[in-house]
Amino acid sequence: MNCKSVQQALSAYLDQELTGSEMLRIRSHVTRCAACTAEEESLRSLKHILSNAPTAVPAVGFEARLASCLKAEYVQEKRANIKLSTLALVSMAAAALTFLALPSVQQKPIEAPKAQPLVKSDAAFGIRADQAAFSGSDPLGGGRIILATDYGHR
Amino acid sequence: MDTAKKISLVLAFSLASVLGQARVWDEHAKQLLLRSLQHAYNVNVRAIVVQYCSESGTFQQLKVEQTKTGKSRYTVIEPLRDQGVESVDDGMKAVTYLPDNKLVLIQSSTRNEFQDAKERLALAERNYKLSWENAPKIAGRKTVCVVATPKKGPMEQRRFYIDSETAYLLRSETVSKEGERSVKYDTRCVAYPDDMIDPGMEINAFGANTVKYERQVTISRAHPATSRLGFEPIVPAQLPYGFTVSACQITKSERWQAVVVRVSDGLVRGAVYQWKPEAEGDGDDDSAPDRSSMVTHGVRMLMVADIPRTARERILQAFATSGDHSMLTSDKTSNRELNRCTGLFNNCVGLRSYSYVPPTQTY
Repeated sequence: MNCKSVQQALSAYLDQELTGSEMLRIRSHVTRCAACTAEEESLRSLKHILSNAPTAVPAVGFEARLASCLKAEYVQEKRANIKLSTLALVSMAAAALTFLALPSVQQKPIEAPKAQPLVKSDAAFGIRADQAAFSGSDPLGGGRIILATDYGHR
Repeated sequence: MDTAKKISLVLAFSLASVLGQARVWDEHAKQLLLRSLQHAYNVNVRAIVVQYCSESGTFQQLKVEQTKTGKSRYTVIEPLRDQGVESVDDGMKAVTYLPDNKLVLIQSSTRNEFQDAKERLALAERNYKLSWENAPKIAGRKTVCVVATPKKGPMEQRRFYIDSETAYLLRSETVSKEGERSVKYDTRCVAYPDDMIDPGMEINAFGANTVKYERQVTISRAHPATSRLGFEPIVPAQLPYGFTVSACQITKSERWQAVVVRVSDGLVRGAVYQWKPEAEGDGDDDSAPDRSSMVTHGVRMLMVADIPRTARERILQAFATSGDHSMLTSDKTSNRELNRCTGLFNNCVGLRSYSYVPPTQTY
């Protein structure tokens, strides 16, 4: 066992976290190596100081302010996530619709419904068309303003 | 009865008498009616109007957009089955779109064809006793009611409620001999905006068939087109109830060849169609109002006019019996007399045709 490997495991040695054989090998090296002995004493002293240090007491209202800050940050983050997820959903839906609609548009053009016959005969049609032109916007003359397929019942 | 009640009653009677009192036909009322006949509003109009047909008990509600320059667009709002029916007119061309029939009718505008307001007014004064009344507001507008009482026959009294400022017709009523009043045309709301977007001529008529009417040449009595009809058209020199022939036109079409005689008594305008029917009932159109027909000497005559049925039938009878004295066929009628009668409205005898053109989308 050399000095490098001993100093890497020295903290765990002091906390008695190693196995018995590892503990024996490190103890044997430290008793024979002055540098490693000095390192062990330094580390032990530091651990002792830290363990005896007083506990820090927060200022008055610190806990409430911290909770408030955390809550605000949480809400902001949640909103951002919702926006992102909505955008993502809309984008995905649009992409899916485009993907679904594109082949049908390319394959089959939109067909307009076929015209229904306007009236029974050419004579009736001709009269209607003529009335459409000549009644015009003359309600004063008793003519209809506009030609329609039918009038609705009152 | 206390004093307050008495005063209010007196006021009410006074108001009623002022509103309902018939006034002597004067220059102010005459000019107002003339402006209305000329469509000389000089304002932009945006309105919702309803037109009724008392004969069939039907109605139609329309949105009207009309610029002071004469361009117009009418759109059917009600009934539901006619929604989307549109008609646009720029003074040169009139386009009517019937969406359920997938049909677009393109015709030359007739707006400038009958610049006959003064002649109409003169004829109206001959056939009707004209007076005017102050009338209640319609659609928030102050109106003058022009009352036209027929001097003879079964014709109805006609009442025109005209905007006293703009001369725009806001309501039209008829009153039968029995006193039954029918509203023919009414305005729900109206505005005269200073600025108005041009209603345009575009109609989105995807996949519609187009029928195009074209006005062609002026014809005279000897025009060869009359020989192609297969019958002698009848244009009577005289008609009952003061009606006069205002124009005679020939519908030249491979599908339907007919004569259209346009008649008027000054206020009402009508048309008498004449053609050789292909079968019994040819030309019947159950849903179309204000029409009567008869067959004489193998020629079908159908009249369309907003007048009582008895009056239409009487006029048709006059056509039938005047066959030997038709202005177009009788040697006794001089050209001068023909021009006098048909020229009353300064109209010529026109030729109208129609043809199918391939479907298109937008006009």
